[in-house]
Amino acid sequence: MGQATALRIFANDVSGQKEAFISDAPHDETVGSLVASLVADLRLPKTDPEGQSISYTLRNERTGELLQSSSQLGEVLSPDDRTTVIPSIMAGSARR
Amino acid sequence: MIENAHRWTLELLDPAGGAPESFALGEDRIDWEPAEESARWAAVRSGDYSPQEAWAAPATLRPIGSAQLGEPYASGFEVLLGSNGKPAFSRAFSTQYFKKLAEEHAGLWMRSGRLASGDLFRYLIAAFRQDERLVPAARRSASIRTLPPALTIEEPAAELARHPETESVGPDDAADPPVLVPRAVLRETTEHVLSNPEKESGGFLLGKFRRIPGSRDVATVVTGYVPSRAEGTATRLSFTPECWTAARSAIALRGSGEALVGWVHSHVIDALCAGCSEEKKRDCPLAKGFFSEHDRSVHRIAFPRAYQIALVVNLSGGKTTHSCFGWRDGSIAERGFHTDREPQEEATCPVRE
Repeated sequence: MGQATALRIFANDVSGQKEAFISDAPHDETVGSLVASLVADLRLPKTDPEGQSISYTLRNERTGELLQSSSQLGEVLSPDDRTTVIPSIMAGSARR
Repeated sequence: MIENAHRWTLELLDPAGGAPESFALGEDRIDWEPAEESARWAAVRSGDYSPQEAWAAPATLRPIGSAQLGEPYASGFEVLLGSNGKPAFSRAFSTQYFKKLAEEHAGLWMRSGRLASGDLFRYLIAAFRQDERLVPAARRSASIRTLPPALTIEEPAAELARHPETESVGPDDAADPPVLVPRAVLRETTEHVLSNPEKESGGFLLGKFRRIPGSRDVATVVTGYVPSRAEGTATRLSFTPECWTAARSAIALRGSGEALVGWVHSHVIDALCAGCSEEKKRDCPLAKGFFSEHDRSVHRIAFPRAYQIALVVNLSGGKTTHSCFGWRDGSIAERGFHTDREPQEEATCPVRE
């Protein structure tokens, strides 16, 4: 998409409470790698109460697409795109 | 983000009189965000701050020294909002805020035999001033900021909480952010979960914010329920990225300026208690509503705003009841809500065959 070597990207958590601004995300970085660093930056939990990993998906708010973790940023995002880091999480009556 | 100039420790006291043990609480261990969120929303509820002003004000943590034990022990802490041209605002929290961390550390003592199941234990919190201010570490060149909730506060309206024409459901704590859930919405949630009574189901609550008549406080008025296609089993409900995306689209489609004010899910108590006797089922505490660790995790991740609530629809013994949970002093607790009066029995209807 864009021609520059790095992208400026905004990423919100699913609640809209926090926003990360990345000024220099490399075009050839994978979405999965960006998500992993955003989870740390936004201080999102990595595991659920049973210690199982929580998986996160990046949504491009401009296109509405849920991005594949193996995609390269330059293929699926444009400069200044807004994204959301969305978890797959479980509620329920099963008690730990 | 909140500014913290202290290093915090938790001290576990041995009920058998042995030596106490101190645990350093690193910045990655203490979740200050619920306290910050609670303080900012309290500033809005005071009437002195708009949401934009409350979230623009710098927030600082300050320990409250223990009058009984002296410093560095703390009886709690305050979140101070910088004036930013407005009157300064502070909100105090007790050491109860650290209870979950204390329980986790007590678990270590249980594993080593210093505590037995059922033992009572006490803990103390201490805060040590550091020269260098601790701010959350940001990796590479990411800069992080907390955002104000996207909402507007409307003028008072007659149907608000604590109005004589509403009634209170569940534990009523005057300090809780008031919430009105119209009976029609409760009915919608009941009908939705009863459409698949063998499995958990749920959805999202939308609402608006209004000043309470004769007060500066702000009430959340629930205006709609959006069922989710979250996939359920008898004891689990999975919210996938597609569920969140669909909810966002539904809010946009309604186009009436509503905010996401909470979520709903069912607990199929009958499935949990299938092996229990009828007598045991009658006294079962699960039937009265509870919030599991998984529920707390969902609420913390996706509904961190101080005004956001979780309604649990309990399916038990052929009846449905609603329990409500939400943020109180930065922790998740069972709370009450208001609903409009109706002649028939509230929030209860028979399970369909």
